[in-house]
Amino acid sequence: MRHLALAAMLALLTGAAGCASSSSAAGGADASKLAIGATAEPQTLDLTTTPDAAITQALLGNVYEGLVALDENGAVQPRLATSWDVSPDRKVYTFHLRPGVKFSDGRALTADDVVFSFDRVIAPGSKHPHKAAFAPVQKVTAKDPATVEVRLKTPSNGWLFSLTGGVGAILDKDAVANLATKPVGTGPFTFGTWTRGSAITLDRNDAYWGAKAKVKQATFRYYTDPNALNNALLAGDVDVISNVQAPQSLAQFKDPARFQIINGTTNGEVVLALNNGRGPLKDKRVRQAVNYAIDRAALVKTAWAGYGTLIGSMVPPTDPWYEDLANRYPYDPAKAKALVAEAGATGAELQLKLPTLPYATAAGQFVAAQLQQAGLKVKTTQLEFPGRWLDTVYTKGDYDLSIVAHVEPRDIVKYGDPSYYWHYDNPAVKALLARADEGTPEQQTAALKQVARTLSDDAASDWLFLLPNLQVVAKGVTGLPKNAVSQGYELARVGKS
Amino acid sequence: MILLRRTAVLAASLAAASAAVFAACAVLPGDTATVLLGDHADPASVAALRHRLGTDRPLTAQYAGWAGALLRGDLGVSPVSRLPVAAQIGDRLEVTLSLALLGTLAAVALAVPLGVLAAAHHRRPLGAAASVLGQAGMAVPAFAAGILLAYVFAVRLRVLPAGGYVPFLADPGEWLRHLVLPALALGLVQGSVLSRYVRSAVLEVMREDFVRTVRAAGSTWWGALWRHGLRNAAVPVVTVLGLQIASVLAGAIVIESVFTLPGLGQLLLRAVAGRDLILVQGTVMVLVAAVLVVNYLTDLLYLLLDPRLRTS
Amino acid sequence: MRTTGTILAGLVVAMALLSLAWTPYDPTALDPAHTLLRPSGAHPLGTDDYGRDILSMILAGARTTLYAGVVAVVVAALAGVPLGVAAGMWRGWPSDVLMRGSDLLLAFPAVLLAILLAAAFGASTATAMTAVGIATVPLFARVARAATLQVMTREYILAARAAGRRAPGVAARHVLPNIASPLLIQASAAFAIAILAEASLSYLGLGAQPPTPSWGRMLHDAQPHLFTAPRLAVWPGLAIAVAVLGFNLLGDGVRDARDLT
Repeated sequence: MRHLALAAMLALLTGAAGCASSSSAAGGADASKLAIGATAEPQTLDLTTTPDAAITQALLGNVYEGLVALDENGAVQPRLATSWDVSPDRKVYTFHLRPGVKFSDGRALTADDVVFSFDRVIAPGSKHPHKAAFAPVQKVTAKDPATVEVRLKTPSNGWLFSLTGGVGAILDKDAVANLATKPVGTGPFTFGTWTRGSAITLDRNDAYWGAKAKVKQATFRYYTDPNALNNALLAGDVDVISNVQAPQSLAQFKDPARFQIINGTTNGEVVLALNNGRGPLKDKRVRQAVNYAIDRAALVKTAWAGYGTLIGSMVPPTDPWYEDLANRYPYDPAKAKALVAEAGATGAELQLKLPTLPYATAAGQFVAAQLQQAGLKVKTTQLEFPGRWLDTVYTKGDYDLSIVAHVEPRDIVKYGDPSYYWHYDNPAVKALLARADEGTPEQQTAALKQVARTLSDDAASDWLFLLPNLQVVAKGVTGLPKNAVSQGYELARVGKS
Repeated sequence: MILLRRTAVLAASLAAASAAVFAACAVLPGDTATVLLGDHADPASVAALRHRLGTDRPLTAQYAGWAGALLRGDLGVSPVSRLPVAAQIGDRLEVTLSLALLGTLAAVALAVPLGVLAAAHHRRPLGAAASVLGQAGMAVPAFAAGILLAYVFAVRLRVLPAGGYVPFLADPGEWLRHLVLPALALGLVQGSVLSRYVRSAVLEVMREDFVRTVRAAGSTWWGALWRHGLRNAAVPVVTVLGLQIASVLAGAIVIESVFTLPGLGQLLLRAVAGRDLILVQGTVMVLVAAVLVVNYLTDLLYLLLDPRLRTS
Repeated sequence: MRTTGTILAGLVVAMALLSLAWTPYDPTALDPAHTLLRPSGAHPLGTDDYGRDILSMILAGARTTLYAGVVAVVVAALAGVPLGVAAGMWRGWPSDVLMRGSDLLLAFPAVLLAILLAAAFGASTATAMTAVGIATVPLFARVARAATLQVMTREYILAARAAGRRAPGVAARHVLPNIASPLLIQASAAFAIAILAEASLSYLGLGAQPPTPSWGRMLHDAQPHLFTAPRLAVWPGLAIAVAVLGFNLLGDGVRDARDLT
């Protein structure tokens, strides 16, 4: 009996190891199949009802396309529209559609599809999560099968930019019944299969209007645990880690014969949110003290292994109105302590409520330690993300400090909304933001620069660092987008040898 | 009669469990509507969504609706993924069951030799060594064993995958390959615990009169064990196995996390985070029901194997 | 065996007591200039990725471990022992209902309870261990009931009851003192389970939250460094194994098939 059992166990081990050479489902040796390891799996694929970044990551630019798209440097480029005209009052946009574009079900793209897609966003009772971006839109009309005209109530730079995101995705008007499970678009890939809990597979669209995708099949594999994702790349189960969640672990990928580490930028400002609406942080001096108290360079080094950019504002370097404000509040614990004392806040207790996200946990310990040195007491609580964090911090505003990465592009506009969870209320900023949206691109840039500076002077938040776009790529994989400025993770140019 | 009583107890337990599960979900702060709409939500659309989901009804009405549907075998539809809960659980059940099954097999494969060895060499160095091995195995957290196994076999030797799952019907070989490491990690701890029961069960049986008689008639210790001991020792061991189902499932939830197996544990963690309460209730209910039913079956098996108990 | 157990468990207690009075460094103090140091005279076990002294963290972590065990055992005993004693004294259908009710908890794996409790009350050592405690209630109830049944046949109990003493008085004065020893053994085993559970739940992020030093948390945080600094995982792993082994050996002999049926 004993020998039998032992033999059985050995057979289990060796037998299994014996078939190690048989190919696995995706990734690994097959050069026509690419496997991307990612951490957040979508819950549904319907991007018209769910604000889930994981949906756009997998589908935008791959399955779905918009009239326009962002290039790697953050500039708006033509995509399904070859060009567009803007009226002198900047309220009428006329888009000229690219000829010869087909949806993956074979039907040709017409202006009606664009009208249909946009009307879906602005329709009364629309449940679109980003319908606010379309607030300036008055009317969308098809001038002819290849021309779409959009009339705005007021000029808006933000609207055109929003078309590069998920809200601008052009849907096939005849194929929206199964948006949640079977997306149909015009992109370089067609939607293949979705194995819930593990993977989404995309197949090359051989009828694509532009340059065909280099690989035949691309699979997003989802790993809830970042260490499991690391292991998957080390073991050859995936070819790419699309976003490294634990930069401390990068040391294990240092071997250049096997891996390459890509370090790009994102739109993800890691914000130490200060509740401007309550307690000691109502006082600008205490908020400034927080900014002085934290050694952000050391924070990035300890919490994020030294990867990440210090920006000192809500503006990433890929936005035209970027200015380096990282040195507005140099690390100065003495000054921080003095400011806290001046405001009479010495010994005040602040509630630091952290979401359970890797960067927040990592940075939180550091922030708490340094604020204690400035004479503030910090009580740290971890809140499960998103459930409890959204409820407590975001909805109820029951917090003093929190740390969360704001990954939406151009999210500086949120400082114009006093009801947003920062509770920052400055009419001057509000006015500047409105002017920026309605003005010419030059006026926009000037106004937003001023907004960023005002926010910094007011110490509205403490912008800890900009999340790096860290990817690890197995040798032989080329063409990955370096910066994560677009909402989609575009794979058409990615090749594998 | 006793069968009827056990069945009644099972039914009452399931009913009580469903109430407990519902109550637990009802007290979770943050609701589906807020999480679903994310940080773009305005109060009006949250209220509208709540109304549409029916989460603005009194709790008793919600429970009655849910439990009533449950009786008809309908677990509801998740508002987050807009898929039937039963289908989602069905997708994941295979993973968790495969892991639990292979993990239990590994545990038995470890426990029986170890336990029998410890009993055979009772009060001798080899037996003590087997006992110590069992104790050591019990002192290692399953997830740590998993991390270590993944490190050695997937990352260093690269002979087995570091995670993921392939359905049995898609490719049985790959299915096994993906489950070997998780099952070993799970089986190590469970097997160590089990080995102690095997040891004491074997010791007890071998002290029984009929075994002594056989041995007096010239049979060796191993011979007596093989012909008479194992069958009798199996009764308490099977019972323990049945009772261990809860801890096997608990272990599976943790191990799924180490190897990213898309099982019920991962589904549950995700559903809790997204406040997909219908899905949480369904998943917890299925896990709890699984334990209750296995325990019930163990009870019946026990009655079957040991007729003395039928009259008590 | 039991001596070994006493020594190992005693070691954990000693570490916890020592950490109350002294640790080489503040176990929560970050030192960005000295991260991931190898063992040296200044830091006998090295430092972690935040520059914290590992020896100090291990010492202070013993406190979290003991706290975890105590919470779980107290929760389980407070609910389980009265239940078991009552079931042992009453007999008949009330006993049946009580035991079936407590058995129902066996169907809720500790991890499941911990996930739900963490979502409701926030993740912490206390919530995680309350979950483990609740899941352990039936074990205490069973041991208490079995022991009570034995005690109930003793003469002094019969005498006390004949003298008209009320049940709660009898339970407190005569039953509890006489069932203490099997309960202590059960508590020791439950303690070991709780330590393991604390580590597992910390791994899932449901247990101790930073900066509380915890062995399970340390093991979790060591994962990204498994290749470059495996020592980060070795020390907390060893500490957990020592503690579990110690309390298991201390309570050895109880977890016999007899008690579970």
